[in-house]
Amino acid sequence: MTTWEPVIGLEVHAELATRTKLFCACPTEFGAEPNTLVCPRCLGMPGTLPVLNKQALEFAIRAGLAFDCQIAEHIVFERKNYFYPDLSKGYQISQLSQAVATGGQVNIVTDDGNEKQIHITQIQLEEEAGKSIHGGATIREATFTLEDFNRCGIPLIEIISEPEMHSVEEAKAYLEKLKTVLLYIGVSDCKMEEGSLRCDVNISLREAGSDRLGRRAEIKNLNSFRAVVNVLEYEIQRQTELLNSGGTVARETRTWDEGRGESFSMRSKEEAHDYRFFPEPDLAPVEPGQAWIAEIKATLPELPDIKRRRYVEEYGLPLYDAELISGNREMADFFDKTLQYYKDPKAISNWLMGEVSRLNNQAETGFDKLRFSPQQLGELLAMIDNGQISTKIAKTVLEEMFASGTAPASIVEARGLMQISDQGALETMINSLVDANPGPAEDYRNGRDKALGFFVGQIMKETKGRANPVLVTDLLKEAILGKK
Amino acid sequence: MGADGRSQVDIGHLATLARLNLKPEECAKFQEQIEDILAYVDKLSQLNVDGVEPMTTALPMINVFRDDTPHETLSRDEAMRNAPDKEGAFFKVPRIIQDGEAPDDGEGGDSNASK
Repeated sequence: MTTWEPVIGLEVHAELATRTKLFCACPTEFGAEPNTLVCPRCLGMPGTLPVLNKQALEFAIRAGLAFDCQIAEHIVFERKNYFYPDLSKGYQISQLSQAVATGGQVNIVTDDGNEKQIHITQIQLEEEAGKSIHGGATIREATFTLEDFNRCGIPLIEIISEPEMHSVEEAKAYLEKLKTVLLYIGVSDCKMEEGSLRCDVNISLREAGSDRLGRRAEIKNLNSFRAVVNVLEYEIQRQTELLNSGGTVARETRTWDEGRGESFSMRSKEEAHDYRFFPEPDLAPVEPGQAWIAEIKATLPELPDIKRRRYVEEYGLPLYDAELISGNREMADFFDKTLQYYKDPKAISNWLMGEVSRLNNQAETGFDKLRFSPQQLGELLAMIDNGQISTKIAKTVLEEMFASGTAPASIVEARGLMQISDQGALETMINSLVDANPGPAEDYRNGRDKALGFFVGQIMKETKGRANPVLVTDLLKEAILGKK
Repeated sequence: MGADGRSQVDIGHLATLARLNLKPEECAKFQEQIEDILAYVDKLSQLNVDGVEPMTTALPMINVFRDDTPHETLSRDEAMRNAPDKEGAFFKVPRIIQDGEAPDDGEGGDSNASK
């Protein structure tokens, strides 16, 4: 039987984080009352003219630079003509052959730990359509549709990949990386639950090893990574069964029903795609110029790939730590800043990935909203190294820092948590404990190592966890074995 | 181009794209008119345009921008005043997908090649 290999291309739409729409100055806020963020321009009233939002163009260029694209010297908008009720003007202003950015790539780390480049065809700047609410359980069962034009005209970039992904995992890694970079450079909030990031999937199957592309299906408007994964798994199976039974895949647009977990052919009133693109006559072309492009480039932050490599090469972090921390800009910022106050990168990484992440998850908050500072975390870790507190106590102190933002030294002092490293005091305690428990002491002398744990536990109980555990262990061994 | 040097226009397809219901006699009339227009414009193809940059606009300007500052919006009542149908805060339109329509597969080509 033929082995089929998936060929996947993704078109990601990311709404840009501008205050106003692309071609008019209506606000872009999410969640406003329907049809209140509109004006004659975005409602498509006759006689209105578009004027380009400079910030939106800057964001598109910024994204192009972050993905190593070539920024066009001469940028032209195109009119894409089609009728659909969420498109007020009867056309969308988009881009075609003279888009903002072309080429470039997204670097992903595949399951076997290798880096792979997925190339970008182009990044184009275009306007959103309005939002349709179908009067039925699904679009196929709707008897009418309601339209809200608040979203109509919001700027977005469409990032078109080459069909270079060959597994569900690669597609997922591509999407995650794309989102990470967009968040890093601050051009989109990428809130999928608010529709700020959506994805069209193109998928075909070809005989493994063949260069020939099969006929593809396109599934539009997926608004979660989960949906993308589900669609891909479903389509791979659907197309495999079709091809294996001698059938052919129809080249068509399909819609995904997340509830049923199936895709359906779109029997759309939208006529066969014949968009009759032509250069948008109402907009002047754009020539950003090398100076402005260089200025935008200079404001790019250190990007996740570079950060990850730096963490591995300069700090010796394991790839896992480096990938995880660099994949979250706020976490990476906190890591970098803590390093200015504390010199052990792996210890910082452990605490950020462990305790701090745990507290964040519990409180459903993030690294950008922490009440304590990187300096305070550095102070806490230094207190462990200096033997002032144990790791266990440090976790308690961190919880209070997390809740109140109080400096660790103040918490330790106020709550009397300072580690007891006073040898004399500990020896007195240990001696009387060993005298009172001859049984376990004898066990330990007879080679039952576990018996020592009993004594350590008792001392910790007595000191409320403040005794220096290394010192206690040493002193206990001395006390028990010395009394042979 | 047809054998007579005129463009062949599928007026039925154009009418559908433009959402126009044309009577048969209108189809014939517009077919002739549009083909006349295309034949006229086709004279341009007789010119030698070697080395001429493609022109995408007649505007003698570039880089017309607007700052990212919000303006006043229309009130909803004003925005919806001319709507043929509405429901609550929304414009209301007929259902989008109709039964028995042909699958949407008209984008041409049969490969993954990008558009």
